[in-house]
Amino acid sequence: MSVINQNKSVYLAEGQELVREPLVLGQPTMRDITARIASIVESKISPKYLLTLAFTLTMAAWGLFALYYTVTTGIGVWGLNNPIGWGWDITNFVFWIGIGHAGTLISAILFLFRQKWRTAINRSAEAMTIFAVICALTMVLTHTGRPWLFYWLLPNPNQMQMWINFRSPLAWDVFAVNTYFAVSALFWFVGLIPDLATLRNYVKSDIAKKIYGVLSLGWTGSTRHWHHYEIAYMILAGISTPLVLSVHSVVSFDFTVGILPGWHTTIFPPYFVAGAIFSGFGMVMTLLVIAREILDLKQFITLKHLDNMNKILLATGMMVGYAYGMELFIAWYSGSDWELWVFINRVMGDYAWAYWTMVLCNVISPQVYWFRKNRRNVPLMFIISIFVNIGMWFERFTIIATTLHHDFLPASWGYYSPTWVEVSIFIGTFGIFLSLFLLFAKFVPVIAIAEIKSIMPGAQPAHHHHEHESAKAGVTAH
Amino acid sequence: MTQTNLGSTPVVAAMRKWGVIFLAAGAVGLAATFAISGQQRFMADYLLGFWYFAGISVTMVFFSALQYLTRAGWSSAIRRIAENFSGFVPVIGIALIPIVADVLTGHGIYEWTHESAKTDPLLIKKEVYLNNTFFFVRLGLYALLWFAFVRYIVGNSVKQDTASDFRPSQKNWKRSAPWILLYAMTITFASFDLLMSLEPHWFSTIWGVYAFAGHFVAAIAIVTLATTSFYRAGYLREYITEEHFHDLGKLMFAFSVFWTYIAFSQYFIIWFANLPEETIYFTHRTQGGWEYFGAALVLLHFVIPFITLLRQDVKRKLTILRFAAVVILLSHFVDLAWIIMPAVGKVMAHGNPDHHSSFVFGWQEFTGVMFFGGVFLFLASRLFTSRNAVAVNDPLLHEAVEYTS
Repeated sequence: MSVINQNKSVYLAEGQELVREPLVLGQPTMRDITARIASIVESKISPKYLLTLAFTLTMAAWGLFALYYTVTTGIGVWGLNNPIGWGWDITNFVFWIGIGHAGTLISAILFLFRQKWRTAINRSAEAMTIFAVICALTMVLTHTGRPWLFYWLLPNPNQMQMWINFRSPLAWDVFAVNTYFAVSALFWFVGLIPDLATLRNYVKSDIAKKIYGVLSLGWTGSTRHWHHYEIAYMILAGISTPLVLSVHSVVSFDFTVGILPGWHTTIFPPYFVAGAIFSGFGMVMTLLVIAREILDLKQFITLKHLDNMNKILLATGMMVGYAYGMELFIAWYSGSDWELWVFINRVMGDYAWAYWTMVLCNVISPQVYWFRKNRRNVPLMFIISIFVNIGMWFERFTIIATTLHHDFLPASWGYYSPTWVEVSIFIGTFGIFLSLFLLFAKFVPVIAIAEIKSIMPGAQPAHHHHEHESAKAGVTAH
Repeated sequence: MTQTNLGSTPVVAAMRKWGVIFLAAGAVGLAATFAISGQQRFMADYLLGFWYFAGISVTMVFFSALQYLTRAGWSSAIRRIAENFSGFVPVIGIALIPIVADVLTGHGIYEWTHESAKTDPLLIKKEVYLNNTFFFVRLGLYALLWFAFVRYIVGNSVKQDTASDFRPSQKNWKRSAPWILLYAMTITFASFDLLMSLEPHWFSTIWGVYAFAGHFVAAIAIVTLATTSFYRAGYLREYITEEHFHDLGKLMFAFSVFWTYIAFSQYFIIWFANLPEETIYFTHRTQGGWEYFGAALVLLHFVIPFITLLRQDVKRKLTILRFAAVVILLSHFVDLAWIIMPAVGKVMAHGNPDHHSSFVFGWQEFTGVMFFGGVFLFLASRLFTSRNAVAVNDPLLHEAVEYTS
């Protein structure tokens, strides 16, 4: 009997044995895996890489210049004015915080759900989390207007025993985002330790050996080290899981605890979380499609991985679609004139173009992923991932602008457009994000070497059952 | 060869026996409630029991569909237990008839069906949605779609037991996603229609998610109780391992926290903004005796399951696991009573001279859940008799038997 339907994610191999699609192609040995991934670090820096890095650093520098201009001239250089007090600053803040969520979901929740395919993408997604939070912090510090007084946001009483206002969602944001940053960085670093030790043993240059040696904290790979490592990893995954939900829920409180129609609605916390994961996966997809091409990682980041990620994009896209629908339905069902008016204005008013861009990108475009063929079409998924990035940015912009630009006093109604300064700062955050990602891709193992090895056949006990059949069919069980 | 049809075992016999006893006692109790406390009180208790078990039954089908959607291997040994608890789904249509009849009397539990709604400015606006005909159409649609849902997903799962190829499972793999979409929409709007419209002036966008969260964790708790009962009595030992208990424990833990997260989001946002049209819902539920229900919810739906299930080792200790499951089931009852009874109390108070709603909770509130609990158990016992208790021919069953959690 021949192998049937081999291009299904679960398929029948010879002898009616059901096997899962392999997660690593080409049956590499453990040594092959180490050599393949570590060689990225060891290889010479190419002029192309330097040129790209120079370009992204220029973007970052341009953004930092705009930031300098804002700080020295005053926040009036932005397009903000009454009634719109929040514009691109908060939009970008929420956008970047959201991007980070895919990394945490992959590293924590998918770990707890025993999703083995996460091992190929968790390292880079977690790195993205940290870089995205850095961008978000840049945005929110700028938004305060006087970033040098950032410590006024910390629970640090002045000489008159005056504390921050604990009832302000902006203070909760500080706690939520900083906790998120600290835990994500810790989680990422703990996961990196065995791989840094591998690099320490692998690289040839003495200086690099020293640096990786210090960073790997004396890891020898002993059983005792692994035992402690796995406990720490599990605990950090457990701590990070509620963080996936709490951070963006707290961000949503910035809007919901107010009483403005369009902002104050109970579905916001889970809706923001779903949107954050959606946008994060969009960004992970954008970068990984490029990275697997340039670094030639197709052996590890297979079409199966991309297929799974596209399924998550479809599912979370439907969740935000559900939330858009609920908002509209309840706006009508509430019987509140203001609530209904704001939503009609959102759908048909001055910012209708932003609303429909959002719907098109977030709800309509992922619908192509109902079909398996599309989920494995690399150029298509690159385009859709860009759509998702755009759509999720517009979601935050729509929420902020449509509610603010027509407030309760029609005489002060306005329309908000950003100035070149705000656009530059946003481009600058992309420069920071991409530069950091480029540095990461060059100096850190982009794929978790130790974790990939753990999902190879034979790495785990009790897998003897299918070895025979899968060997016959030429595929890997599990 | 291990026994896979458990119809003749004492566990299923007990299920059948207690099903009949609860059904009969519940029916008598409901009749007594009608006679002693009137139509509205009877209907509230009926709805309480109905929604408790109808929601859980449909969610059992969702649980099964979710396993197919994610191609889960671990759960294929316990999935059929969940599926066999969906026996109530096909008769939901019949169980809805008293609710329809109650609306038709014109003085039922739904305020928007009363004569007075015709002069209520807010309810006039909502009449396009909240009117008898459309309400009945929607209820009929839910019953029909859920019936199709259970027929398709559970039907294919059962067909797999005797099939010579994996076509039934492949069908479910392929079609589970649209069915789950349908489940999301129906459970949302059913919760709007049956529960939220009890207080027709009030609204909350998170309501559908809240309904789902409560039903899902309760469904996992029932699967846990059944699985551990079979295991303890010595059945299914070739299929079910400690790993399954550990995973069920994790799910109960995670989703009791998820429910708390959703419930907190709803409460917190409404409390903080303090808008009268929204806070009225919680104001009413935090006084006159209902505040104890709110406090009990915090304890039963969050604190106790959280503390009990936090440790790794306890998820493998059946007694503790079953204790947590019972607490979760109790908390789901408290939750629904806290939603339904204060609303109906308000409707019942319309007849009172002072218009002041009273605390309505007594023996009557247990009759509805008892009746539907009986129906639920009895119909499950029939499915455990006519079908296997484990998906014997499931293509991923070998993974469930040998995995480690």
